[in-house]
Amino acid sequence: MKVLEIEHVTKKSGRRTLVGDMSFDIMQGDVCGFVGPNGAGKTTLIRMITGLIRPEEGRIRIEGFDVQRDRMKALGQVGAIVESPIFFPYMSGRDNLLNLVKLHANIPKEQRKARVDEVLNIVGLASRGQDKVKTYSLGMKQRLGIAQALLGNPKLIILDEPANGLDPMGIRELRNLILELNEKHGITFFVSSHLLDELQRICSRFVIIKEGRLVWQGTQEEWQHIAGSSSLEDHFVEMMTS
Amino acid sequence: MMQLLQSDWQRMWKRKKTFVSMLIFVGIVVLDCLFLMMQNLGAFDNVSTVPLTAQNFSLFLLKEVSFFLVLIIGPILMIDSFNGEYHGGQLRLVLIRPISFMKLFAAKWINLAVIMAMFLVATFAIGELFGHLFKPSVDTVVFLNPDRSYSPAGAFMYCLESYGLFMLIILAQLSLTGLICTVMPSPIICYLGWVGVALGTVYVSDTFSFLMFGMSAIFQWMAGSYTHALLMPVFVCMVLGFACTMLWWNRRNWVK
Repeated sequence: MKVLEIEHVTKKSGRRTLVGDMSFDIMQGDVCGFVGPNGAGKTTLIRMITGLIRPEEGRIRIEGFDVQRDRMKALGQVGAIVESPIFFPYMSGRDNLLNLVKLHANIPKEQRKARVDEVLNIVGLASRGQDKVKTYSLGMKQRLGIAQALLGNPKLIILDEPANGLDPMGIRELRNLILELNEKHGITFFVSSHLLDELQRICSRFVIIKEGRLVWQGTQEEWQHIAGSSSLEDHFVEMMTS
Repeated sequence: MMQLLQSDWQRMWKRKKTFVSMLIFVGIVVLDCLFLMMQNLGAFDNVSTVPLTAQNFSLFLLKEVSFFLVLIIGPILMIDSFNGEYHGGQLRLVLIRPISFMKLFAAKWINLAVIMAMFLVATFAIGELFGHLFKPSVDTVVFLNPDRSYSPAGAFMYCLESYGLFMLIILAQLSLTGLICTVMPSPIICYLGWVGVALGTVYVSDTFSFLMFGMSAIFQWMAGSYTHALLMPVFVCMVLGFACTMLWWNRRNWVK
């Protein structure tokens, strides 16, 4: 079943095409890596998927709901970290989440606190939930970012450069968390990152873009097959420079 | 909608500027009260004065604090709610939720209107309290128009009506500042933009001078000597500013 459908999506800034006629699908249960060099249009596409900006052409559907026409239903299926998650530093992690959970109409008032505690538990922040966000490490903020993405019981989580600024321990924690959420909760992930090695460890599929255009998409096995004896990193560099 | 209002209200009170603005405002009101307590006359303008009494004290207190409300506190709270949260990045976590942009704007506008109304109610209450504690009560009160005199109850209603008119001017200001905040990129440019608009209207047309000299317009309106329309321009600014901003919010790209 298709969770995310990108159909001929185009976004321009003046004469410059940021994303051009892009089409691909993400299936339920996928952990999909979204790869491309700086300025390739990854964040622009993620902003369009999360309804922050509008495409000039094309359609984006989440669980069959059009993001532009049926925004509430479409975004009700999604949790996201777009760029870095920025919380109110003088509020505790729990209070930040309690504030955001009010914006999910699918969670009744009497269940909000329980839901917040549940997601804090899932991301391993239950013991630090009462602490102010300004005391959190970068890794903890990123986990809190995933916690806020989980609030509305999403079927799809979109992460934009989630490993940015994390140390190796933080990256490992994040990787384990994504895999656990995917396996135990069946959540589909769409993860943009520069860290190809890291994506290889968690992603079943890849979407590769360059200069706003789709270059290649397929499973990791298919990519390995066409890369032959080269590493995926070498093949990726080759694709980007050709 | 109620959930949006609650969420935004909570975020508003977690921002430092809201608390700082409130503290500054309380300080200004108290200082103005002390200043007025030392005066025997209340001045409507450079020429017209009346004895300062318990019955008109709150009106002259509003005159003293109106400048801060319209030119400093109102715009600062508005800019912080609209631009500050957007540029700080916190608003992004709200915008990616399944909510309507138009309702989010409406929630922010309503919350700011409520907080400004709270400031005005506090000013009125403090003014009445100080006036009755430290100024003499009189049986007959005269305001700007010397031909009209009021009983204490009539004077109370006169002051209340003046506060109501000032609230409408604040709502017009909120709508216009909201539009400027949506169009202008940074909080500082926004603030300068609002000051520019408020000052500019004085030179463009006297009809819109209430944005800069609200109390002067209210004094004359209540005295029956205001030569321009007041309510219509106020409502035009309020409704047009609100509608344009709402439409813009629904169409804009949230790229920050």
